[in-house]
Amino acid sequence: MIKKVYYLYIIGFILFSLFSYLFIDGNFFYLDFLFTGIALHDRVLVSLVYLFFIIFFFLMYYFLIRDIKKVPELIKKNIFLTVFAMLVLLFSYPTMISYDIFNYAATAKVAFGYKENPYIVMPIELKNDSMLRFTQAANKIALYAPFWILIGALPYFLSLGNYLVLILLFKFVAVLAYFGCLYFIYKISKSYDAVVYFGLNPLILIETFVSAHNDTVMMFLALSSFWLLKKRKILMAGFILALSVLIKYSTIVLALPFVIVVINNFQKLKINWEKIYFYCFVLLFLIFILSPIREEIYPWYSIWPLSFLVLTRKKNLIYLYSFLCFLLMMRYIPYMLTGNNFGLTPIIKSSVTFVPTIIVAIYLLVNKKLLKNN
Amino acid sequence: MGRFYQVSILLCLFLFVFVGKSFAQSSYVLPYPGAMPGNKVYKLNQIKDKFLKFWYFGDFGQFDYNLKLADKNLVEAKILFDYKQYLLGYQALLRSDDYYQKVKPALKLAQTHNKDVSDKKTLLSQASQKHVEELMKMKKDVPQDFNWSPEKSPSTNLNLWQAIDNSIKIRKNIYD
Repeated sequence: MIKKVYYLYIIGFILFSLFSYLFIDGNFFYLDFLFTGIALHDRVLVSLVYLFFIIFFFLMYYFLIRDIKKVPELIKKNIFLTVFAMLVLLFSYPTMISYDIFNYAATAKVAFGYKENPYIVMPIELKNDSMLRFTQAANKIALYAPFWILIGALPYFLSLGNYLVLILLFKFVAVLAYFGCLYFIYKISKSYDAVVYFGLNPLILIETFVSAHNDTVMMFLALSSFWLLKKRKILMAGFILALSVLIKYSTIVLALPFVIVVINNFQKLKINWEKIYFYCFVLLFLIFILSPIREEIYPWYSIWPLSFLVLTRKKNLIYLYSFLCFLLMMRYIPYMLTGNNFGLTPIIKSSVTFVPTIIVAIYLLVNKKLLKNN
Repeated sequence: MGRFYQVSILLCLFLFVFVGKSFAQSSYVLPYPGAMPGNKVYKLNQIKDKFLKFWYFGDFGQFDYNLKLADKNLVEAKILFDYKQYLLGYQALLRSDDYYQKVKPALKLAQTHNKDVSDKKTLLSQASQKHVEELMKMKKDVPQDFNWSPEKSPSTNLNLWQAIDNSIKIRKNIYD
């Protein structure tokens, strides 16, 4: 049964990668020969197919984590198929559900191509650049912290001016960070379960392999920082945490548990690491739910708390959080259906995410199941 | 019917005169100058402005930086002249000129780097127009000469009109 589930899961992602090409922007002239316009004209159909995919992925994920002990062996036995699926997913169309990767590329081009300060010069000021035809946030200065902009130099120079290669390299950076996260999750937890919870989560896979969000890079650095901290390499850990903060700022909240650990280290007190990871989860979750103050809750922000939640071994909470991830992936549907972010779209987005989460959380709290270790 | 034509012609003349006047003025907005001389943070602001030069790297960055500071110093000069602080105003005006003269080279450099500068050129012409407007107003409010006599050094004669004329010339040269 579990073997079949795993195969179905992999095949699902290969099909999802093909499905992503229905979302090609007509203005993205590099791939205009693949443009069908289906995502624009058959919105209901496309939304239903997306809905089907998300339900299917989370259902398969649920079956996989229910039988989690068998999954690592399954992956080992099917390593070629797994790698093949990941490669196919890596080549999926990147702006199916988020245009952020185009912003990364635009920022890199402003900084390293035009040699202008991306915190001052907006891409839109570089008139007649072909990237303006499809870059969505061209009227904004750089949205990310300096270290992310610096990282952008690598894909930019390696691409040798080829935009498609640049996009692919940004994806590659995200995927490398994903594997980095898996590595440090294992190093910290010494548990394959934690790796599977994180690595096979459909939201993580889609937001990393398809949309290539830099959140994975930020969390890779944060996790490596806490691993170094565990090894009592405080200075190095602090430096790496600072780099993580300089990707997207959110991990600044981890400074608090970081300092607590350092103080405990100096006082030679025993550190309850599971508690520390739980604090990290709670703090990142707080930042995550406070994100509407700045803009809105984006599904990929949920990568932050999940990175530490999987280290806590709180199985019920991981289940509940996976359900939240499922609802977050639903947030893309109102836009997919209507093609705009106005009117009822934001209301539906919020309702889809929070009403079921609150109902389930209350139910679990009433039944006193939450936070109870398996 | 004849009355209708008379009223129409008068109305057209009225609109022509007033609309014409509003078009003659530049829509370019000069910034709020921030701390003025005498304020505790004024010196700090000046140091900050010097360091910002490195933050505003790149051709467009330098264009923005020099134009911003030319604007800021012009407003500073205007306010100082209003308060009859002629020496400080004169110095601010010279600083504004200095920054303004660096705007066009930055734009030329951008052009040599194959950047489309059409929007920046429009902005610069609007800025020049606004600067000239303000300088002409300033000239009406300041004396032609001002003799500055500090306590422990010989006095200096500041030819304010000449300085303003020179500033106008710089703006017009860049505008042309």
